Amino acid sequence: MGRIRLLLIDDHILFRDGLSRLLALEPDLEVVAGCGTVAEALETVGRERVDIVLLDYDLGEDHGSHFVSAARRAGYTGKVLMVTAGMSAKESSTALHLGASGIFLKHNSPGTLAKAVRLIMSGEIWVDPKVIQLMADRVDQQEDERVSPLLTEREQQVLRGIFEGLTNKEIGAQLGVTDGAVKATLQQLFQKTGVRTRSQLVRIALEGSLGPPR
Amino acid sequence: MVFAALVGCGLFAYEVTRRSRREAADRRRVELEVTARREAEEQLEFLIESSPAAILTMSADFLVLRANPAAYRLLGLRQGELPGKSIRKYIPALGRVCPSELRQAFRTEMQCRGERDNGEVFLANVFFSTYNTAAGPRLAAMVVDASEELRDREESNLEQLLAGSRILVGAVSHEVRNVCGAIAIMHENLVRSGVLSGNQDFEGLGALVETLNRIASMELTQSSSRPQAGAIDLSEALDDLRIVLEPCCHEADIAVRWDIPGGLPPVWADRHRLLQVLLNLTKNSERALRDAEVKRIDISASAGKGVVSVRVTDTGPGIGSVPKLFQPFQQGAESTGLGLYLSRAFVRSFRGELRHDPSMPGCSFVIELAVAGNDELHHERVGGNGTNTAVVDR
Repeated sequence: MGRIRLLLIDDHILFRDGLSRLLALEPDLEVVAGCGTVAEALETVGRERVDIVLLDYDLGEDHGSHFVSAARRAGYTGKVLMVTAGMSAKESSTALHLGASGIFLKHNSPGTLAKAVRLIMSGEIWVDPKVIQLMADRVDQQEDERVSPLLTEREQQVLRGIFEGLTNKEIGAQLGVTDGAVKATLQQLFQKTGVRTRSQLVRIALEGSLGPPR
Repeated sequence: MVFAALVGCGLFAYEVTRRSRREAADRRRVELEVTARREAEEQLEFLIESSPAAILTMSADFLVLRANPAAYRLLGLRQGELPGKSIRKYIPALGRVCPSELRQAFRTEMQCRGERDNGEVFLANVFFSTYNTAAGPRLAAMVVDASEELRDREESNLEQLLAGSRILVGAVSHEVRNVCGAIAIMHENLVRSGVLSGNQDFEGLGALVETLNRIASMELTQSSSRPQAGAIDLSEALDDLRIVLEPCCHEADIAVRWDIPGGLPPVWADRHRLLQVLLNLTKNSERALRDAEVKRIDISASAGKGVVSVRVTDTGPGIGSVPKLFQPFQQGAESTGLGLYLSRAFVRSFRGELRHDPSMPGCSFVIELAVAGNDELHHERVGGNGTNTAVVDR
């Protein structure tokens, strides 16, 4: 079996050059080229046979994911390993969705990178545990983002109290809950409406963005 | 004589009738006036009685003359307990107005400490004025408890500070991790070459890089905190910008042109942070326009597929080093050189994008924001046709 042919894409020249020298020491790996931009890299994969692209996500003015989708459209069928100083959960899931075979964090031991490359070449996937954790957290976050704009019964009650000019304590007394619970509900209302004060909330409610007060 | 008597009677009857008609008309007018006055008084009374703000009138020696129900609620007193009490106990600052000054016309507002009857302290917004009566000068005040607003605002500010700091730390950590990654690779190369084998400084250097790497990696595990962003009305955020921006631009002879279409969909953002980003861009424009011949800032918004774009363009000389525009600690920047770096980090924190558009004359930045409830934006942007402008339909 021939050596694994690698293309490095990273806008940090020192990292790219250092990594190139490091991987060149591995007998089964061969660095075909190193590129700093998506355009250069697309040109290289169109010209050279590349088995795995080691791709940084944050390429200054560009994103690594642009390369993945553009390279796929251009007919690149090799594998892609994201080598990044950090990607958000959303960016990670997008990269994997687009066909990246793994996400390797730069602060891991450089020696592990060769291991990740070989694993990916054998058809496996390498995703750093921290990235998996971020993506798992993201699921909860999406639930938060999908909060219904309609108000719960408690939110309606608190909003009515605010309409009546009551303080948190007074609303709490009226509803038979602590003023801390009222405050938590109020925070939910702020979150739903993107406001920060109760007077802004009143205006939003009056404008009907929360539905008619019951 | 009979004729004269008849004429006299006729004139008398005419006069009586005329007077009686006039009196009836006067009566009707007075009745109408009384009705109107009564209606006005009723409305005024209803306004005062139902007002959520405490309304009080006071004599020149600061004794309360009249108070509405909200005043009793605010100060924690039973109905009827306020007249005759000094306002100095409840709103001390109001009692510090010198009685002789009451003859002078006051029509102003202040924020001060208020105290309820049970000693509980609150933040009072007091709008007060003076007026004269036959019995001497009087003081009228409208008092609003601003404590809840203060608490909401301060807590929100703290959250904002922490969220902003998290983003800043995250962005800087990212840069540090990049550098650490490069150092670690070079260190590994040197280890493998064996050139510095046994060199204690070299080994120490390796340990230091590893430690720095660990510190910079902490942020990765802390990004699961609750997001601050929510669905916001972009037009409102732009209204906030208009309030802050226009007076400064007016002073600097800079024209501001707005092109904000109605009916923009709500976007996913943090209103306060978005305003900070817009302010950063417009303040940069203000600086760039100092010596420009044509001084104008254009702010426009447009809705595309799953995204709303806000464009800030100025007629200044444009930007020199575009590739390094969003890198931190830019040399030659007028302040920290962190403005655009942070602005982009802020916009990305709510899944948006901030980019420079070199195709426009002058200097033009575009903020792209996801339409609230549209989770597909990010896929579209990063999976687009390889350019940063792919997402916007124009």
